[in-house]
Amino acid sequence: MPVPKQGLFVVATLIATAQAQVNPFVLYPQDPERQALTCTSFVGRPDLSRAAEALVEFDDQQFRGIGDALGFHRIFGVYHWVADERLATVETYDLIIRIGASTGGPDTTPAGLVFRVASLTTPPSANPARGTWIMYDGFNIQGGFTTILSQTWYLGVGLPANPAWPATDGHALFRADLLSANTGATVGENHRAGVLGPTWAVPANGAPFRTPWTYVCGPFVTTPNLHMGGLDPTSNRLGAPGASFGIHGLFPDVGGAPRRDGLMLRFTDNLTPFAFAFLGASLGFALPQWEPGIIGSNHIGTSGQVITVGLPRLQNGVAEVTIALPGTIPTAMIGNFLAFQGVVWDPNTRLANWSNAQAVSF
Amino acid sequence: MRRVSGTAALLALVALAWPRTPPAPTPTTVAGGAVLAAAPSVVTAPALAARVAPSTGHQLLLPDGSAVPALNGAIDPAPLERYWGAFPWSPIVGRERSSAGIEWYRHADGSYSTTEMVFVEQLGKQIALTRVAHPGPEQPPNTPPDRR
Repeated sequence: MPVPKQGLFVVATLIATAQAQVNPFVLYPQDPERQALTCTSFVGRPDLSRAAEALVEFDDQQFRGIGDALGFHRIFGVYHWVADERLATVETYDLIIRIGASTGGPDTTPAGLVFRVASLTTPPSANPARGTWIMYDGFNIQGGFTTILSQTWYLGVGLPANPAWPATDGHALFRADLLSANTGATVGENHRAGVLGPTWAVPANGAPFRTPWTYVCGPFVTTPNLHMGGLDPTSNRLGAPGASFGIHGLFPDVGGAPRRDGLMLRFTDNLTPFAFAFLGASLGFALPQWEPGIIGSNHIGTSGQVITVGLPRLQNGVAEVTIALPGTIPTAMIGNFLAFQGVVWDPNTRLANWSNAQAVSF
Repeated sequence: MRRVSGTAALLALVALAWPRTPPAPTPTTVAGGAVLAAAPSVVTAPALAARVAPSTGHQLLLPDGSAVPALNGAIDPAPLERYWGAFPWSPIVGRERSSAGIEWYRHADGSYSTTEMVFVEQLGKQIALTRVAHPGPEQPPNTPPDRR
């Protein structure tokens, strides 16, 4: 077992070579790249048929180091699923990145809009029926579009007004509703009570507001993805067996009335799909630290603060680690939070890369 | 997919040697939240480049190693492989222009790909996009009862 000089454990030899690919970082109950989406509540727009941006919030109290290649967020594009009520009509949308306002929520001022690509369109089609496009919109910016680290930020798509939606035409997004959405959704997110909506609508004319669902939408990054998932055997909100990796993983219910959720970690990487991952957890985030030879930043601390929660090998870009089975997380954890992060290492290039870090709030 | 059980992980897992790292340097913030490149010296640009393949010229590199002309006047688009996603490669079988005036390559599996030049005001320059659209579920879920 080779042990690099900085003390990072790696195990045996990797098969993977450096892939010329990117990872979409999507906060959703299921992995849209690798799992059948049974959890989608509806396809919807941020503000009905009116013009609005549909933005995903990346709160630095919940996530650190997404796309952290050299100390900053480096974003290589936007991934989202288009639900089109009439494929034969080309849909138009913008790509948007905003920073957070000092008062909370997205900064809707010109200074807060840090990246916008306007008026992209969906492909041609002769099909007049409903359908779906899985859109990969990639930037060729050397090193990716760079924005500041350790700050809440927002990414998504801007949709023009479309009075024809949903009756005969229009572009909507796949979404998983929170339990508090009161939309009658039988599948969707499955978090504990009291969780705020993780996405925002920014109307063309009006104040932004939270929306109670997650979207199949996120940035392309070169860092591996780490998602935490909740395990609730009493629920069918996922529409299939397994862990729910969206808001449920950020806010599992361990209160015991009646739920005692378990916890699972899912690690994905298209760049080194057969790498070994070194996974750790600590009692909260730490200030970002760099380790020679490892791309990205450590957000969960040093060896004295971190416990190891797994050393899985990725299979086709995925590894899952059960952190705690349902019924085993002590209720004494309520009010605390843990932070999880991992590293992959590729012996072919002798490069290691930190994943993002994610908090779990009990 | 590999699952590793660790039922008592939250409280009592064996601590291994987690990396010991120095504090990171502070990024330099500029207007609009963007940052200047104050990257640490410990990971060099070539190291990053090893995880992100280069792009080339006026051609669009395909995952099979061949190249086709970039569309819509794009210059130096990223290789298609970077944005093809977790789908088997499907060869180009045609070229179509949408009603929006955008040219696309049509692939055998029904996917489309293209390149475009777009102006990003916040960057003050044009950038090349490499775009892929894969067909998703033929019957997406319903729209919500209240239409929101």
